[in-house]
This record gives sequence, C-alpha cells and structure tokens, in this order.
Amino acid sequence: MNLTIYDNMTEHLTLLLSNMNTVSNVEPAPPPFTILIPTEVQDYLSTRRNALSDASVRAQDTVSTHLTWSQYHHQMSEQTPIIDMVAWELAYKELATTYSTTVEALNCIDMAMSSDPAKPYIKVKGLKPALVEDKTTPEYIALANRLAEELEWDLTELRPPLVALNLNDMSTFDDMVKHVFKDMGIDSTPPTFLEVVLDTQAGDDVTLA
Amino acid sequence: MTEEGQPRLQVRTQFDTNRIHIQGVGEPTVNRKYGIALELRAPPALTEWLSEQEPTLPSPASGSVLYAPMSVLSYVEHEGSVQILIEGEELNHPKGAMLDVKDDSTAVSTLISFVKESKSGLVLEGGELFSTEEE
Repeated sequence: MNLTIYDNMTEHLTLLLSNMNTVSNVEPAPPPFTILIPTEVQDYLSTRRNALSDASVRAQDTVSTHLTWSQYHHQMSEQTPIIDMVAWELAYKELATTYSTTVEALNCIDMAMSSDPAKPYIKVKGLKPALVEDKTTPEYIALANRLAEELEWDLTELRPPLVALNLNDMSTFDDMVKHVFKDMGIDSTPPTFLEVVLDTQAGDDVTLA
Repeated sequence: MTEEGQPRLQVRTQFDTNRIHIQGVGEPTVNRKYGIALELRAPPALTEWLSEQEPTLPSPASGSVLYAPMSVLSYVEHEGSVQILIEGEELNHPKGAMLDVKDDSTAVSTLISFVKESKSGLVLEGGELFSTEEE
C-alpha cells in the first residue's frame, strides 16, 4: 500500500528523532529526551545573558540615587528574552549539520530550549501536529515542499494550508520589511509582498565564474 | 560627471551573507537620484571575500567610503553574454572576482538595462568569456 505524504513525513521525522536520541545506547527511548544546545548557540545565549546581567547590576548599583538604569533594565528585560528567534535560527542550522537533516525537518519537531546556563539542553518533546482541523500546519507545508521532489512524495495529497494570508497580513508584511531594511541601514526600496510572491525565482543571481 | 561624481558601478564590501548591494552612478536615474541601487543574491564564498576587500569608493547616498569598484563585461561574440568583475584581491580572477549572472533574474536584468542604457560607457567589451571550469 502506498503511504500518504503524511505517513511519509512522519516516517522521515521519526527516523530523525531516533538519530537525535543518542542518550540511550540500546533502543532509542521515545520522546521526551534532551540534547545539548550547540556550542555556537550557547555562546550566543551567554552574550545575551551577560548583557542582561550587566544592566541588572548597574540598575541595582544606582537605584538609590536615580532610576535611569533601573528603568533601562526593566525595558531591556521586557524586550530581550534570553531565548529569541536568532537563537533558534542558529540552533536549527547547527542541528541540521549535526544530524544531516534539513531546517524544515527540525522545525517540525517540538523542542524547548533551556535558558539556564547550568542546563544547556534542548528538550525534544516529539513531533508537532501535521494537521489541525484537517488543514496542514505551516511547518509541514514547508517540509513537504522542501523534500517532496527529493523523496518522491506526492504534494497533491497535502490538505489545504492552515495559514493563509489576507490583505491586512500583506500590508503588515510590507511594513515589517520596511522596518527591517531601515534597521539594517539598507539603502534600497524593499520589495512588496506581492513582488516577493510573484517573483518565484530562487537561487543566486550571480555565481563565481 | 554628475554631482555624485564619475559615472561608475560599485559594490558595498560589507553588507550581507547572501546578497551583494550594488550602486550604479549615472544616467538613467532608475530608483535613486544618482542612478540605481539594487541587491543581487550571491554565494557566501563571494560575500565573505568581498567583506575582506578594502573599500575605495564613496556612496553617493552617504558619502562614506564603503564600496569597491565593479564592471559589467559584455561578450559580443557570445551573443551578448554578460559577466561582472568586482575588483580586489584575486579570488577566481587576477583582478578580483569574476561572476556569471543568472539570465532570467529580474534584478540582473534591471542592472544590465541600466548599464546598457547608460551613455557613460559602463559596459566594457569583453574578449573571451572567463571561466575557471576545465574544458
């Protein structure tokens, strides 16, 4: 019997989970299990932790005379979680290399990263759901599109995507990209959402001759 | 010569891991009063090399010296094929980095149109297509 694309994806991810679970040296135990946070990510988290700590002690040292640093630290604490999206991006890239897999596959795995420096672990909880109300979750849409050709999965079996964009979302996307360009000091007009969607080109514009 | 200086093509040395930022100074003005600014997707091997090059040219937007010179080479004998040369230390070419371009890229087409419409001679005639691949 032919497997559906969901069975294909689950099989692929289960194998990945098994590869990641190297703690048990006999039969891989089912999730949850833990893996070490990659060193590069630990360094990044240390930088964030140190910055927050420095701001905290500066606030403590000056709170009896003025509130400037206290307020600064309060704002910083609110806006600067130890684990942020950059940490996950770094982790995905490192783990993808370590386990010879794709970022898309890792994004389908339910993981939690510890911010405790004494416990530098990622808890692997299992697989994220592929379907919600008979619609395909974004993580599995990405996985299917990334691997369907290579692993001969049938993309037409995919149920409709759970997340779809409306005009408001497009406008929000445009605003977000404008801010990103401005923050990065990029001297260019950012593409609109429609330009990005309609321009289906992928890959480098230039390559070494 | 424009108020931004000599017509030229230049690329920012420090920009992004996966993109290069190009400025074209001169006529026609496309999306900047000095000419054109655009990004091309590029391999990290190129952007890493580029980040190590000494910038020698100023941005017409800010005046800061952040850019390295580049040229567009057109090969008449190869049906007008185009390559881009970024000047600097030898990467894959004695004068720096020689790049092939993706013909169906919108950004590449925009750049090629700009240099071809320019009356400032921004396109150089190349002889033989440069390649490091063995025949």
